[in-house]
Formats: sequence, C-alpha cells, structure tokens
Amino acid sequence: MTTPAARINRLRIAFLMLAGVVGIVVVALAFLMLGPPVVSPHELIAIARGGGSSFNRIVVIQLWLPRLVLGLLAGAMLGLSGTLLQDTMRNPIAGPELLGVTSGATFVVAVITLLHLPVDLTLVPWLALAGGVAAGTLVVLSVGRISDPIRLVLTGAALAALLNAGIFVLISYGNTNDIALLFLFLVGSLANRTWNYVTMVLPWAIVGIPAALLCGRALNLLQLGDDVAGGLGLPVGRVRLLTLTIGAALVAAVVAIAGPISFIALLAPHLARRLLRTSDSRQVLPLSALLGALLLTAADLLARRAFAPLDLPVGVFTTVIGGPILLLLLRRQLGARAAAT
Amino acid sequence: MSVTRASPAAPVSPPSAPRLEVSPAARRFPVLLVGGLIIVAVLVVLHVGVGPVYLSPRQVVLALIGHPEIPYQHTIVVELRLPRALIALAAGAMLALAGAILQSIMRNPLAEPEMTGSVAGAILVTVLWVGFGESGVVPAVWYMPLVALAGGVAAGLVVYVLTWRGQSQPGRLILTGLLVSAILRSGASIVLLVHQAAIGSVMLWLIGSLNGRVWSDWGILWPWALPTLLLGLASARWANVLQLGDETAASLGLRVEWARAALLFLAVALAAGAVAIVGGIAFLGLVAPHLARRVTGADARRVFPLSMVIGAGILVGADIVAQVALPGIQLPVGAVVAVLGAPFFLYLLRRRLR
Amino acid sequence: MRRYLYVLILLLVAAPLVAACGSSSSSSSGSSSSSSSASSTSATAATSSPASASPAVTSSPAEVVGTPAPSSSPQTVASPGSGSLSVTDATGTTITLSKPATRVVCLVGECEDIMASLGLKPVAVNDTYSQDPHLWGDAAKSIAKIGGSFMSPNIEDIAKQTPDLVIGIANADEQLRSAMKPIAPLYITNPSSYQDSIKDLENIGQLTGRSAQATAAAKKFTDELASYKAKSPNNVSTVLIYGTAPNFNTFTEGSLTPSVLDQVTPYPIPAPANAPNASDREPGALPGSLEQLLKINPDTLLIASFGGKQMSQQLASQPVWKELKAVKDHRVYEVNPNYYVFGRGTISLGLALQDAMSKLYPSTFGTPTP
Repeated sequence: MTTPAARINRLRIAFLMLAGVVGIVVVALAFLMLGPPVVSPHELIAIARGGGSSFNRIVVIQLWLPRLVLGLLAGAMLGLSGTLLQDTMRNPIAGPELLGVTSGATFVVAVITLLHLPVDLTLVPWLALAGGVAAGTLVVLSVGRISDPIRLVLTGAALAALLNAGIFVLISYGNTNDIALLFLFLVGSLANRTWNYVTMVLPWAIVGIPAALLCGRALNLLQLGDDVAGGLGLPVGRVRLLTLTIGAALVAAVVAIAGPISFIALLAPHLARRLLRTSDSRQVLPLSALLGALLLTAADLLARRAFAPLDLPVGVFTTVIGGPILLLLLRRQLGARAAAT
Repeated sequence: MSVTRASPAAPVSPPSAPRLEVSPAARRFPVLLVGGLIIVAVLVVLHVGVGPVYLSPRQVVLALIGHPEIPYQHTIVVELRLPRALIALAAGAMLALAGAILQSIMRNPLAEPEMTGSVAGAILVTVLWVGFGESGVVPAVWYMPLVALAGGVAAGLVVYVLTWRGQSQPGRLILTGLLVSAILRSGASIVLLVHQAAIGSVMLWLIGSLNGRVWSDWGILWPWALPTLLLGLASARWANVLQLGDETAASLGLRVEWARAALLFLAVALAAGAVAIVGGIAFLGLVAPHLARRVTGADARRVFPLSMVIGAGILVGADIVAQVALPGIQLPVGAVVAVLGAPFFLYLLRRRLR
Repeated sequence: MRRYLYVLILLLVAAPLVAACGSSSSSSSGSSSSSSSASSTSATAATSSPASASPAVTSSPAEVVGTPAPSSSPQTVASPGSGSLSVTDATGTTITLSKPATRVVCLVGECEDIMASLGLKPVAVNDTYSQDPHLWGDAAKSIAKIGGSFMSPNIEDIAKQTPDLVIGIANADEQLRSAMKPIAPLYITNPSSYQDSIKDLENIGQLTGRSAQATAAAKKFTDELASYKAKSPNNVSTVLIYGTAPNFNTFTEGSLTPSVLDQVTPYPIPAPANAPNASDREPGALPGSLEQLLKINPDTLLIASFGGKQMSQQLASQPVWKELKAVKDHRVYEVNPNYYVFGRGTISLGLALQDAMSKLYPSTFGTPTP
C-alpha cells in the first residue's frame, strides 16, 4: 500500500541512486581522461572501440582503468563497512579506523612486508582480516558500553597509536633505508596498482558486497534495541557477530591492497543518511556504497593531479577533505549526545 | 564564665569557600609526592648511568665530577646523557601537566593534549616551517616553541570555535579535537610528501624522539618550561572550581568561559613547548594525570604536581627503555610510550566501567 | 603546603641549571655554554643550525672545533690561517680543523668510498657497505660498528670512538649537528651530481691531509669517464629506478648516478623543475610511476631493488610492465644498489659505470669484471 509519503520516499531513493551513478560515471570519465596524459573524449571512445594511439591506449587500459576499478570497489567496500559497523553498534562514530580494525589489518600487512615474510599475495587479505578482527574485538571488549561515541573513539585511537608505534619499532629494527615505505602503512595509497591488484580484491568484493547489502533487514531490527530485536526472534549475538565480521572483512581486503584509507567508511553512511533522511539500513547500504565509491575515486583523482607530477597517497586527501565534512555533519549530532553525557 | 558552654573548642570556619574534605588521600599526598620525587631522581640517575655504551658506576661518577677516566666518557655522560635526562624530565612534566589541566576543565578523565588539536597544529606549523625552509630538519633555535605555540593555539582556537555553542561542552571538544587533529596531521603528511624534505628525521620527531637532544635544546626548553609549569601549578585553584560544574563555578564568582579559555591556553602552551623539542609524544598527557587522580583524588592542587612528577618519571623511564631494550637499536621514545601507554589506557577504560 | 612544593620544584629545576653551568665550564669545546643565558643560547643555536628559515640568517655560519673556541660571538667565520684546514659541506656549513683528521667516523657509504680512495680506513661505520670487497677486503672486518639505525645512529657509540671528523648524509644526520658539537665536527654530504661527489672527495682529502691522493682518485674517475664517453656509441637510452614495488622511485638527470650515465648514454628524464632541496634524501628523485616509464619507454631499464626482493619479478605480472620496450627486448637489468644508490663515491660510481656500460653496450665493452 503506497501512501503519498512513501511514494515521495521511493522517488527520493531512486533519484539519489541515479544521481550517485551519474556522479560515478562523471568522475570515472574524468579519471580516465585527465590522465596524465590528457585524453580527449573522442580518443577515449576510440580506445574503447579498440583503437587510439598505442601509448594512450596502454596507459588508459592498463593503468588508469584498473586504478579506477580498484577505487570504485574499495570505496564501495569501505562505505558498506562503515554502515555495517555504525548500525550494528548503534554508534554514529563507529568506523573501521576508530574501532581499530584498520590498524589491526595494517599492522599485519606491515609485519609481513617489513620482515619480508614469505607469504603468498593471495593470502595477505586473510591475514589482514585476522589482524583486523583481533584488534576490533579488543576494542569492543575494552569499551563495553559500545554506544558511547567518545569512549569508542578514544579506544580506537589508542589502539591505532599502539600499532603505529609497533610499525615504527619494526622499521627501526629492520634498518631499512626506505622511509617512504613507512608512509605506505600510515597512509593509504592507490598508486601503481594495476590489474593484478584488482584480481586480488575481486573475490572479496564479489562475496562481501552482496553479503553486506543483504544485512539491511537485520540491521534495521538491531537498531530497535537488543531486547526488542531479540523479542522479534533475531539471534542478536550471532547476527552482530556476522555483520561485524563482514564489515571487518571488507576493510581487511582494502587494507591489503591499498593500506589504511580513512574517513570514507565514516563519512559515506552519514552522507547517505542525511540525503535519504532515513536510517533504514536497506536504503542506506546501497547508497553509502555508491557514495563511498564516488568519494574515493574523486579523492584519488585529486591525489594524482593536485601536485602533479607527484602522485600523492590518496589517504591524506580523504582525511583532509573527508574530515571537515564529517565535522560539519557531526556538529549537530555531537551537541545532543554530549549534553546527555 | 558564661552560663552556656555550648561553643565548641575549635572555631567554626566560614562555609563560603569551597572546602574539599580532608580525606585520607590528602593526608597521603605529601608522602606520595616526596616518594614520587625520589623515584624520579633515581630514574634520572639511572638514565645518566645507563645507555647504549656501557659505563661502570665509578666511571659515570668520575665523569660527572669532571675527572673522567677516559675523556670520551665525559662527553657521553655530561654532554649527551645529562641534558637528555633533563629534557625528558621537563617535557614529561609539561605534557603531564597539560593533560591534567585538560582533564580538569573538560571534566573528562580521558582527555589529553592531542584532543585539543593543539599537538597536531603545532606539528603542522612546524612541518610547514621545515618544509619551506632550506634545511630539512627541525631547527634548534629559541623561537621554535613559539612557532609550535602559534600552530597549537591556532588549532586549539579552531576546535574551540567549532564546539562553541553559547558555552563550550567538553564532550564535543574531545571529538572535534580528535577529528581536527587527524586532519591537521594529514596536512602535515602532505607537506612532507610534496617537499620530500628530510622525511626521515622529521618522521622520528613526529612520533616523539629524544635522540640527539643536547644542552642547546635544554637551553631552548627550560625558559619555556619554568614559567608555564609554575603558572600551571598556580592555576590549580581555578581548575578545582571549574571541576564543580559550570553553574556552580559561576555562582562562586568565577568567570567560567574566561577561566576555561585561559587554562586551555596554558595547556596548549605546555604541550607546544614540549612538542617543539621532543615531537608529538602521545599518551603521556593521558596516563600520568589519570594515575595521579587515582591515588590522590580529584583536588587539582594535589593532582597537578603529582601528575608532573609521574609524567616526568614515565618519560625518563621510557627513554631508558628506548635506549637499551633492543640491543644495538635505538627506538624513538614516543614509540615506547605508546607501546606501554596504550595497553594501560585500554585497561583503564575497562576498569572504569566496573 | 603548596609553597613548599613550589620551592621544591624550583630547586629541582635550578639544580640542573647549576650543573649545566658547572659542566660547561669544564667541557673542552666552548659551544655548550648554551644553558647559562638566553642570548648565548641563541648565538650558539644560530651557529649550529644552517637553517635559513628565518630570512635574517643568510651567511654560512662557522663551526670551529679543535682550536680554543671563541666564546659566544655568533657567526664567527674562522679565518683560515696557516696550518688550519677549512672546507664547506653540502649544507653550507664551514668545517675547520687545526690539523688533519686521523680518526674518522662514517655514517654514510660515500664516506667509506672516499676514505678508501684516499687510502685511509675509518675508525667506525654504521652500515654494511664497508664490507664490499672493492674497498678494503678482509681488513674491513676490523672496523668498529656504530649502533642504532641508519636514520638515527647511536651518538654514544660515536662519542666513544673519539673521532676528529664525522661524515654523514643530509636527512639522516643533519639533525644531529647540535648533538655532535661536543664530539667532533660534522661534514654533511648530499651529492646530486658526480661533480658534487668529487668535491666531497677533495674536501675530505683536504681535511685528512691527503689532497694528493684525492686529486689522483678524482683524476682516475674523470679519465675513466672520459674514456667511456669517447668510446660509447651513445645510442642506447636507459633509466635507473630503485626501491621496492609497487611504490618505487625514479632517478632523474638531477640525481647522482644518472649524472654519470648521462655523460655516456642518453638518460631521458630531465631534472624536476624545482631545485633539489639540500636535504632531499635522494636529490632529484621522483616517486616512480609506470605511466611515466611507459611514456619515456627507454631502451633499457636498470633496477636497484632494496630489501632482497627483485622488483622486476614483482612487477612482471603487471600487463603494463610487459608493454615496456625494455621488457620486450629483455633488456631489464637488476643492478647492485650498493654501487648505484648507496655508494655515492668515485669508486662505486666507477663500478656502476663499468657495469652499466657492459650491460648497455656488450659488443663494445664486453662482459663486466666482477
């Protein structure tokens, strides 16, 4: 039975999704065309058809296209992960970086790389997942009252600081000559990632993204509160474990290929909720996936072009741009919550 | 002799001044303070005596009094270890006091300088200074604390304004401060990456390092440390009043916003001064005052000096560990403080909820 | 009660000041009188840091050690009288010794390279380049080791060696300048061209009283370079990259080793527009991008891989890698980073030159000598 309000709502959802897709297409085209080298739309079409100058063709198809795909996938995965975590914990500040999941995954990847452990590349995301889950569990156990945003943030920050210090110790111990390597683990980057990285993350995306999208209904129930959800027949503990694991898995895969990219997972759900004017997870999930993909790809474009010819890590840009946006979004929310504490 | 002997032997004190009860904690306080000072003194002695190069106690003492067995021992003990120990002492006290002040005025025992955004602001401005300057290192000149302070104050102001809502609210301050810190630190990363200037040495400074801090650095630090530490201690009374809550404080005649702003500025100054010399050490401003509060209650007049002592002790101790923990390797002291401080903080969080 | 606390704390703070004053009067070099007054602090600080972050500091300050130091007058330029050796290092700091240095501590490979060229041996080193057979062979095993890490060498170990001269590289060791003051003068290198490297060679030769050997070694290198230049067909382009995949780095013409290669073979990457910062870790280097490599598409590719993993293997699976001309022609060479990146001196540059020439022009120059 569709009331006028529900119809407007549906229109809004449809419009937003469409706008999201259009936005992604626009950014994607800009990504491919702006290079470097700058490719005209005409040439882009020619390349798509199989022609174009050989150099441009190779660069667009072998360098920028995989990086674009990776950015889209990673952005979507991060957006979904953020939504899952925030809705499961009923905490607007929950995000993989603040729950320590990102730090845990990064630490494991750093250990593998800095100590030159002979680990097969396809195995790395699994180990990163283990690290992320361990760290996240530690944070959740330490915090207890998981709905208190400040406590959560502080705990996650503490864990991140701890693991960053650990990375520093590793680098000092390894006596490596390559300080730039450190930045790789402190800040996420998509530079020089080509198709083999896409194949690495693809299985995780194929399984993880649909799994996350299917959690919508369960998340809605969880948001009603543990008792109500339990009363309605939801196995609260198990569902929470499942959603958190999916969220952590999505993040771990991204960290394994790109390092810790912050703020996308925090920001996308907030934006989605704002735009949709609803907290219905079934709607928020797909939109935050779209928004995450859009945001990350736009940030990567900026990272490549802002200080050309230097190709900066995308992680600094997501923070510098995403941070202030999040601040603005949270202002009102923080006021209400802080007054209550 | 009057008929009524109702008046008690002791005079009745006026009830107007806020009196905190003379608890067992207050009675313990002098003992704790002196004990703490003794421990810190021992740690300083240890720091001077222990280092990567092994020197027997006799050699250390001889070097100290100016008659070293071998000349290089004098260099090591007096020119390298002694200033380093003193700097650790002062910086630890400064960071701890900054944290204590913040915890008082924010009425949140989990607050620390990082949360005002001022540490990140100090770092960003210093990195900008380094990045656009010709040498690629953090120069050891007397005005560096001022540069750091400028950055710290600017960032602190931004956070303060962002959370202003007729009156600042502690909870929002913390969250906003952390977000602003993350943003500013990323800004510093951008500068470092674009200028490629001395990423290596600045990197160590970013996490906090006492490597290579000598007398010239002490000469920059102590003129900053002395007045800010003393002012901080003197501000304990205001902090106590603020801790009672905004309405109570106002009713007691304190201009709440001004007092809070002044104390915030003081905390930023303390943190910026320390950061300019030793870099961005995290957790010290959190753990030390927390411990002090645990053993001595909430009276700022007791918490402030005790957290200074504890902070100094922690940093000196951590520096000893940083130098000798892994054989042949020197860790940046910030990494050691984080590795020790973070689990402790997590444990504190857990306990607090019981 | 509070009053007593303040007094106590004042005492605690005053005591080290007294100690500082006491120690500074007994220390040999006068530069540690910094804690007694703010003015002398700024003077000492001004002489110790060559930073021109403040526009007022323009001239290169002087570091005078070994002669009785002038007390606290800022920016005293030592007049090179007879018997005193004075040179300027890569940061513009002047180093003056009253007599040739005999005990030298090396914190960077270039130092060891130079010392070997001069026929000397350092008393201590902090890396493994010293063990290279081209330098001292087995005799290198007796050289003491400085602990710590490359980015933060252990200063106490350096002090223990009682050196006359410490040689380091900008970015790792420039930050230690003030810590080195009571120990020994610090000479910082950061060569962005082989001419810089030769200048370092001559400077160190002067500081160790071995100018003749320095000149001879420099001549040997330039002669070798000239001879390769004369014989080189000069028609095979090459690019040198280093580091680890996927975020490797690319050298440009503004970097040290390509400045040598450029003389004998086309090196198609020009130096970046902004002049290399004095503290650039690898002057002239750029973060590497596959797109740039593809655009330039050199005939050959030289790869200096760090950390044991070969970059060519790691990158081999990427399709864009296979599009490179050098990869298709099987002209990708893994080279020894010791000679191409870390050595920085005329010996390693000469070895790199030999190695590169034999790989690029095998018909002209034959197989490389081990």
